[in-house]
Amino acid sequence: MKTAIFALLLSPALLSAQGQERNDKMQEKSLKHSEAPYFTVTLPAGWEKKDSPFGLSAKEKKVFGVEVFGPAGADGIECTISVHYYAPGNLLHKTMEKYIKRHAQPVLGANLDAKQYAKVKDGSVAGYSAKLFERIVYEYLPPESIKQKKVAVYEHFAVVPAKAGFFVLKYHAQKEIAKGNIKAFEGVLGSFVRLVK
Amino acid sequence: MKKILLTFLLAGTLFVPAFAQLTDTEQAFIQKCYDNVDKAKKQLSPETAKECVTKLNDGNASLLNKLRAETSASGNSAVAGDIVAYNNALVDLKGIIANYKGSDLADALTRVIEGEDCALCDLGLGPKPESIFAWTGEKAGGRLFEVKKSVKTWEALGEIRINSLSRPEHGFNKEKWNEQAIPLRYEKLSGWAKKEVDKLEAFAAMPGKAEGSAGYISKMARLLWEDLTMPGDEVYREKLNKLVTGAAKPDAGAVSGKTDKEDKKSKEMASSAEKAASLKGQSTASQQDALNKYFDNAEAKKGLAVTPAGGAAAVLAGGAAAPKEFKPVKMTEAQAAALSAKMATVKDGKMTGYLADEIKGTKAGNEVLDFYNKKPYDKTGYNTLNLKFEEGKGQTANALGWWSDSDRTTRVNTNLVDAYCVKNKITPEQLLASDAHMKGVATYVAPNFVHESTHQRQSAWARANGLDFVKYKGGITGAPYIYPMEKESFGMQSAFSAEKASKLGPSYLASISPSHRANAEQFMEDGLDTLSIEKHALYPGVDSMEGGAAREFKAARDVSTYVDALEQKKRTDPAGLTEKQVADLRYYKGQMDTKYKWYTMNYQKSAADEAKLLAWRDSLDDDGAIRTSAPPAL
Repeated sequence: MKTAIFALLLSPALLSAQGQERNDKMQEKSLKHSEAPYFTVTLPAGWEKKDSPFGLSAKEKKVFGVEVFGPAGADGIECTISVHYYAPGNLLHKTMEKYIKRHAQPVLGANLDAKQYAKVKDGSVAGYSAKLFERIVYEYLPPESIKQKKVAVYEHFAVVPAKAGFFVLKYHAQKEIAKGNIKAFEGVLGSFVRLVK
Repeated sequence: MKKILLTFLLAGTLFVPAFAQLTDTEQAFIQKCYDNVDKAKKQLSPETAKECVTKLNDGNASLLNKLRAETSASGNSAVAGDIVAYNNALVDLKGIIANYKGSDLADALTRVIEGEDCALCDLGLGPKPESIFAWTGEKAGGRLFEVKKSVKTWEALGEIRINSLSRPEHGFNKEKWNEQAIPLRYEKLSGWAKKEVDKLEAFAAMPGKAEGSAGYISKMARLLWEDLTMPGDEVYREKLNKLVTGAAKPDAGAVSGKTDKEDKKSKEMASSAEKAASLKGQSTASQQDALNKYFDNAEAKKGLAVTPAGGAAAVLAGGAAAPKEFKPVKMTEAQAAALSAKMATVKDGKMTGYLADEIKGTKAGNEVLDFYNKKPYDKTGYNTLNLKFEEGKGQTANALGWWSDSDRTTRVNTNLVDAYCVKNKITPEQLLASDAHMKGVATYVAPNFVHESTHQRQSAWARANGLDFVKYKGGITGAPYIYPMEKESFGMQSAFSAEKASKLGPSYLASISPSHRANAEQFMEDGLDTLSIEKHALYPGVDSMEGGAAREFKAARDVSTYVDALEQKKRTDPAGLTEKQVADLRYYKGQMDTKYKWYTMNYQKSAADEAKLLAWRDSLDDDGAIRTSAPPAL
């Protein structure tokens, strides 16, 4: 994995691990998370689960999973790792191909702020065949300011097909701390167990 | 049918007769939901709360309706209200703690534990922020430090601040400090930091400072920077910048290196403080108006910052200065009125004009047109199109536009139109005479028009369904302002922009503001969840669906209790009911019916809106293969 997917991560700036605040009550051991009957993964130590907002429930969307967030970069953008199962008939991405298409290239067809997209490659996640791709996109901070800073964010996607539906394991991190925290994502990838065949 | 034991939430124990219409499983579930919010039982589980809220609302709220019928018949309707209020409050609190940080988290916590009708406070969670620490540690342990930092509790201030604030000139200790409400803590820290900046300035000016003083100045500057969060503090931040730059040491850039992060904090907090201050004492309708303005202000600012060169907003930022010989001419009120009429008006029951042309043919735009074209809210009288181009002043100076519930008018800022004229080197008079330029203005303001029109439709929907139970001065009524309303408006405008982009391509994306473009991209990539969470931070005073339900049912608790007492009297001593009590029973039962209707309809509407928008989204792209060529660049 490592050798193939980090073409976008070779900047020396990535070695910086600034902003990695740790909470005093963060769990010290990694936590096995079961999203039965779809998958299990081991979540990294010290990362906290995110809550889903109101609106349609997971059951209604037919999208099931977990998202955790960890250290923040200098601009306050937190690293997140998410693992989701998109069941057949889900309301977000009908097919794996559609998911990839929406994330592996400019979704509206124009790249006005020079986002970087790596090619989609074949690979594997915990022994399962997968489509892997990464990108660097931008967030504009602060949201309520005349003077905004364009902040680079690295994202890595591993899309694992199933006979019914598909899985997405995603890593999102401010670029300068992306490499410093990638091991947490690699741990999640390595621990992934597909319960839906 | 077994009997169910319900411990009355805040006092004593209550035996409730068997609920004839509930199965044993349903009764056990209701008991579980009630026990979860029983302060004495110390459960207060957000997971159980979420399960309760979800299952009670499943299937058109069938279980909640059964529960209401049962509890109402037995004179225990407060039980149903408590289950709804307190479980929603726990879901809301967990969501806030899990999804926000820093000043956003502080704003949201201020709203739910220090605001009026605090349901969480009945559970021992608030109004003091320290009272939620134990719960946070147990239910969301990893977030405890973030919560402590965001609410500026004494122990999280750090050694430097604690030592300084403990001195006689400030006179604080842990108890005295933590007595203060969250916004006051931010205010006090700002005042303290300003004094310390002055001291630091004096120190920096001293001749013959010891070696390493530059490092000290830099360290202190970084710390003080975090606390300069109030309106007007920018002057002191500038002082810090100068101090650090003047230190001219290897670490001299430390503050400026942190500028963007901390500048974000500062601006967010200052903005929040301004918002909170300006909203204080206003009616909910006024607050809604103001908040709508804030949103659009944010959108305008975003546009200023990152619109590609040549965009209309870049002109505002000075990025595409007009030629020297061109003298900008501001739009007059008469021209603004003429522009309004040309942009959108209703003739023979149909909305026409440049905005109508711009939005028609899209799913969101067609819904807006249907709304103004008398379907389906004509009977409410709330679907009259009142569009007004008006110069924004003060809070609205940089706003793209805003919807005012009080006079049911959508306003668009003429400052934007002036900027468009500057960019294109035309006068307002020439603009009004140019078909091409009128179309250009319509394209730029259309996403906001869709957003604000959606708010107007929400008002009409509430009116049509009798949910406008909040009464304001001047006979104005409205439904409680909750965040799902913004979620729908953002969804509508994002869906609109995305559909236009799918039809018109990159040239369209270049002609709208970057924030509208970003919203559309986020909507297409991931639906509404991420968009929704991020935008909610722009509305610190507005409750989520769960938070709004908690507040409304907490506020109605006395009414429920009174209705229960009257119901019991009606059963045991019907002849003893006075005429007023009979009238009260009818009136207050009606009030509670309306409140439940508001809750269940909004819950269902929120889900239905999202489902509809996601279906639209799915129709905007195909399953085709990934492009192999480079994406188009402008």
